[in-house]
Amino acid sequence: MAQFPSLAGVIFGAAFTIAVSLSAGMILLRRLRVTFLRGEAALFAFLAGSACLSLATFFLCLIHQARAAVFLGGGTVVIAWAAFTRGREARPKSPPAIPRAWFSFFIVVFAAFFLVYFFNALAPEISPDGSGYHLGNVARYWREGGFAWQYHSIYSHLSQGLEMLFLVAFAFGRHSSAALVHLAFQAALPLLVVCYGRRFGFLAPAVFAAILVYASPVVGIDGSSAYNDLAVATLLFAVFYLLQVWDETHSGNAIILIGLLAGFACVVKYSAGVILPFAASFVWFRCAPRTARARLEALLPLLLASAILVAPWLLRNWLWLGNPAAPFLNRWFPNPYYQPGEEHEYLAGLADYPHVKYYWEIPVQLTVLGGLVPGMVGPVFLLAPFALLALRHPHGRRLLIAAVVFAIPAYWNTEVRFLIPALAPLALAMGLAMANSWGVMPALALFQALVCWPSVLPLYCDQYAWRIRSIPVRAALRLEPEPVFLARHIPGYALRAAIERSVPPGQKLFSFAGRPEAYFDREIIVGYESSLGSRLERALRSAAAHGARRAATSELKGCGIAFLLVDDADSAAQDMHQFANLWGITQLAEANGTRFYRID
Amino acid sequence: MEPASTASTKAALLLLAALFAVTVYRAATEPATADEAYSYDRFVRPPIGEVLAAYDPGNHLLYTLLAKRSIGFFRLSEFSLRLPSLLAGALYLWAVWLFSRRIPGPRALSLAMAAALALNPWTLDLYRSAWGYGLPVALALCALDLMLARPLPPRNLNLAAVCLGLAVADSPRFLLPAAALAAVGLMVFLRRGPTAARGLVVFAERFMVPAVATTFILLVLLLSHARSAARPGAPTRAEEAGARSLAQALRAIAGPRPVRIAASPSLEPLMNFYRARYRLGNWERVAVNSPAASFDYYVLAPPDAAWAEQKPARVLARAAGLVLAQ
Repeated sequence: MAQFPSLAGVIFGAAFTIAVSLSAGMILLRRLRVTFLRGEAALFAFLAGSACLSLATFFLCLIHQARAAVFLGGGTVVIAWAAFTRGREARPKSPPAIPRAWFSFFIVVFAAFFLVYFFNALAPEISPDGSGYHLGNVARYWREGGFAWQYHSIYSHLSQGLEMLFLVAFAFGRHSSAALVHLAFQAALPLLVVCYGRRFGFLAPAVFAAILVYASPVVGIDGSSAYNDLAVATLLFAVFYLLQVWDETHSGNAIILIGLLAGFACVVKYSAGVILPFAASFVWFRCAPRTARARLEALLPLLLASAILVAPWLLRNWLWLGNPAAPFLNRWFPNPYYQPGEEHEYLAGLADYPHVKYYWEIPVQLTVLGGLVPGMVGPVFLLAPFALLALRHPHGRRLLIAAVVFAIPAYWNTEVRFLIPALAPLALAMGLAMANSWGVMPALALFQALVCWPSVLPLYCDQYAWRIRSIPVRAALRLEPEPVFLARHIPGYALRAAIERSVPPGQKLFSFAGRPEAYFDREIIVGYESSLGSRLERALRSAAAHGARRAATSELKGCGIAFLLVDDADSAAQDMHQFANLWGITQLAEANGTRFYRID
Repeated sequence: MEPASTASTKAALLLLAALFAVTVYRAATEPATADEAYSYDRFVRPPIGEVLAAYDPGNHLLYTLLAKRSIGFFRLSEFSLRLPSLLAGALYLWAVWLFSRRIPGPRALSLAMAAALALNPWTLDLYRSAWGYGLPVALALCALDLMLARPLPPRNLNLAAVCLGLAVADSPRFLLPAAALAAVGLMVFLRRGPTAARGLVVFAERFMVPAVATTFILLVLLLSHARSAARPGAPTRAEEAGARSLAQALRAIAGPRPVRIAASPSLEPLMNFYRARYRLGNWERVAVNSPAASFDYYVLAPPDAAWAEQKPARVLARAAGLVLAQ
């Protein structure tokens, strides 16, 4: 397949992956005999099917059969099976109708923002982590037909539940297809929120919450990139939703579905692990009858179902790296790939608000300015304290507890996207709190939609805030060539041709900083991403001071690394540029402040 | 409440109508003050993006937005710039009328109340000027009147909350008076309403949430960029009138040719106002006078006028101590 697929290929890749997920989910829901209202069924089928497809792709990666023909054949069988068995079950009941005004308002806002997000996802992938490690791993698995055991980076050690779906889409449509799959999770979140309100009888607050969440700038940019935060947010909210449904019905099969989705959330991102104790506690306390035996009987299917998704990834890491929780807990599971000290340093960097001087700046940064966190959730979330008024409602209390629990990972990682999972329950609680305040919800929802529109954001947010900056229709429709668009938005991309020309296949490069490895098919060892990288980085950084320049580059050569990528901002860059002969390196190319050297 | 056709009622109505007519006349004829010109030049004239980029306590945002609309509809003039104030004046006098009718006792007492509230010259001055302070006063009186209704319907609480929210959004300095009024509203509500706990919740839902949300919508983007802004010393009323005379004189002297003008810091907003007011596209935007730069004309306040006398400059006109020099 060509490096840059056609527009049809991009859309097919995403549509096929979503269709297979939906079909697998429909089959699963029929088997489990869990009944949903109209609208809910499709959403839960998509999420449950995604978990199944992710697991199936994991096993294909294990046996190195992750190939387009296998995906196409297997996926077609699943779609055909679902279509063949369709209609054998009773039609789902219709939930209460949404008031006409709210419905129209929601449709207009949802459609407008969806178009913005769709064109951004359809355009070539340029997000930092998306073009870096998320799709970097996917591209590597695609080249190898499965897991790349010889490559070591903290990002390749992480569980990659969503990347398994990306891999299916990538097989047909490359990078943008993967982003479109994430977009499907993003669109599912507000729809789930609306369905939740319809089922439990608070329609207006649910539509209000859906608009608040969907228009949120960080939700927009993250969901239309090949990240995984919106998948996590949607899965966590789906688990919360299903727990409330289970609380009404106490259906044993619903518990299995809850376990599957909770397990899938955990393997999409470790930080979603908060859902397991949350779900287990909920089942424990709400189980009837309230005996220890009944509670254990309810918990067992939950834990077993989640283990089906979680265990393969833990086992992979345990057998491969000697650390099931890699790249974390290295003190408990010592291994040669990442040291406890390096892990500590890495985590300390994530938990810090680097340039925030006063605590009161944090909420303003998180909601309005977004320059330091980076990104923002939208100004209306500054009114989150109002949500405390929802404590009067049983649903309000549960939503607030969920919001607090889902926000826990943000304590260890200060980037605002780690708060995304908390937004849906928080916005619903805010809606419940304002339900009796005449005119407030429509005014605030309209305000959020207006001020979060991409062309309005620059009026008030920080210029460096991570957000959608335009609607790249030409690039999305491939009227603008993909390489031109990529070179304009990813500084490191300009060196791609030079790297492919100079670095023989199988050779490695060293870089102090992360690179858009999704677009490079040469292996890049990044300084902070592994023990090897850290060792080489230390050697290079101390070389100038100790007059051991040649020894440092020789050490790299000894590790099979014959090329360097150095940003002008790196501490060693100036010395390397001035005394290239002392380092024994030759500059091959330079672009956008990055120099590409060969070690002689 | 007394019938609407008594002599005291007619007298009150006549008094309020006459006061409004006087206010309209003054708004239409009096020259722009330095504060008005400053507000126009710094907040009303620039695009909304620039206005949102920095917070200045002198920026009454609600007034700014209304004045932008007013000038958009009627073109810039002293009257169009003051139109939102005039509308606030009408609202205030209407609220005075309603409020005075709530006073129990002899009918003449209502008239006395209306006169006491409406005849205050300081208050009236707010409504003939393009200042943002008239709006919050009018809105607060409306809120008070709504909260004193018997019985107190929930919609009144909502509307009162919106009024107070708008008042604070227009002038954040109004926060404390608004909080005091909210406390009054709460006391009235709790005296007439259900149990204290239930009453507090209902009051929070019907009053506090709409009030805060209203203020929030208007102010959040502005306050998130809060930083102080220095303002020049204010000229006197006579100097403001003098600035208008000098602007008219300079318009005649300069004719249609392009000119560069400098003004003393206190007069710069005024001259820029008249530049926009008389649509003088041939004038470059009036700059603050600086010895380092050279200009075609200088409009100088008394402290700088001496500087013009020392320079080889020709004084073209004088008004109220101000100097127009070439």
